[in-house]
Amino acid sequence: MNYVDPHIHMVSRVTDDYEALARMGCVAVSEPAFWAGFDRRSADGFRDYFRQITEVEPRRAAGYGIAHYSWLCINAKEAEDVKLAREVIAAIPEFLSASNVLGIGEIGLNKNTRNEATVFLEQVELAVRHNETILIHTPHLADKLRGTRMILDMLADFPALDRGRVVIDHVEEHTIRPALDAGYWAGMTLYPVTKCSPERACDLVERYGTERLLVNSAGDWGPSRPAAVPDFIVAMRARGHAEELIERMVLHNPLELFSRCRRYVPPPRIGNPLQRTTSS
Amino acid sequence: MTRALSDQRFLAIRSLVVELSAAFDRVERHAAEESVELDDDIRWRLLAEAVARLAAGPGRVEAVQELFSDAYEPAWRQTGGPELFGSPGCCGR
Repeated sequence: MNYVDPHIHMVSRVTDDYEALARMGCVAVSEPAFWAGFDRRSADGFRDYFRQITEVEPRRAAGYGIAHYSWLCINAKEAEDVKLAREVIAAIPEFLSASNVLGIGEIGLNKNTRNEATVFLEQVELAVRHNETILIHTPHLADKLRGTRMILDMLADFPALDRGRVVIDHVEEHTIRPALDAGYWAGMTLYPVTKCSPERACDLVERYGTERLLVNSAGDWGPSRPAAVPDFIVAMRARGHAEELIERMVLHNPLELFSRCRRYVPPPRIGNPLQRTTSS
Repeated sequence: MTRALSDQRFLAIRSLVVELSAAFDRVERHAAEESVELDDDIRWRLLAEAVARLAAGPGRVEAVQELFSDAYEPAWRQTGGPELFGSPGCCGR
């Protein structure tokens, strides 16, 4: 089955992973800007990173027939340094015209601090000013419920924001409902220990349906499985779910979200499956 | 055989329960060997409470997730701001 991984950090993965993903049916990935495992010391460090995810990774992915999209921001962890964060935010517009950029992300909260909230709000303002889609990271463990609710509170300050162009990512059982009820997309991240498992993601699809719901691996430099989306496909099939429903989750939904970015060009290998579905 | 409790699903859940049981025994055994008082550890008390919530019926996963979560204060912006909500540094962070 063709699929998209809408959240994966390919800068942290070896080229063999691109090949493995291609063999499993991956036609596109999207790569949010994130914490690289260490704090960068200057805005120029971020400029180099933005070049990597707007120029280098798309070329690497194309070698395996995979379309590569990206999102730009300063992540919540490094946002604790507000001065640096503001320098990075000022640099982001230099890269917003890159053809593979889908929007601003993954912004959000990490430890739910005042500085994180300040930088989060300033990046939402940046996205609104440039009419960009937004991908939002929610905290990992005990912070998740509180942080998710704080993020939703802050987003409510932007009544003109198109909720259908915003993803609340890393939802779990206790945070999915407020995200969906408010009209946002919700992303389920399949991780080996924290976040969601494939079986729990299937549970959430069965309970909440497929509308505005995404599934991703968030594969990165830590314990993670770049093949987590195929794991979800297998788990859904084992429960007897229809191929069409599974395909909506892993292919049509992410592409529908991506298409809300004005720069979006469909993955070359498959064109626009949404259009084919509509006309058939 | 229904999908609700197929043999495959029974074996998967059985495995999880056996692993959980062994993990609790393991922690207690090592605590005894190291003379550690587990009841003083908030993480152990949370785990014990989580297991108790498994017997509560439907809604278990939300109940367990909320147990492992810091409380959300809707008026957080009026009560001093998010610096109050920094991590206390326990529970796996």
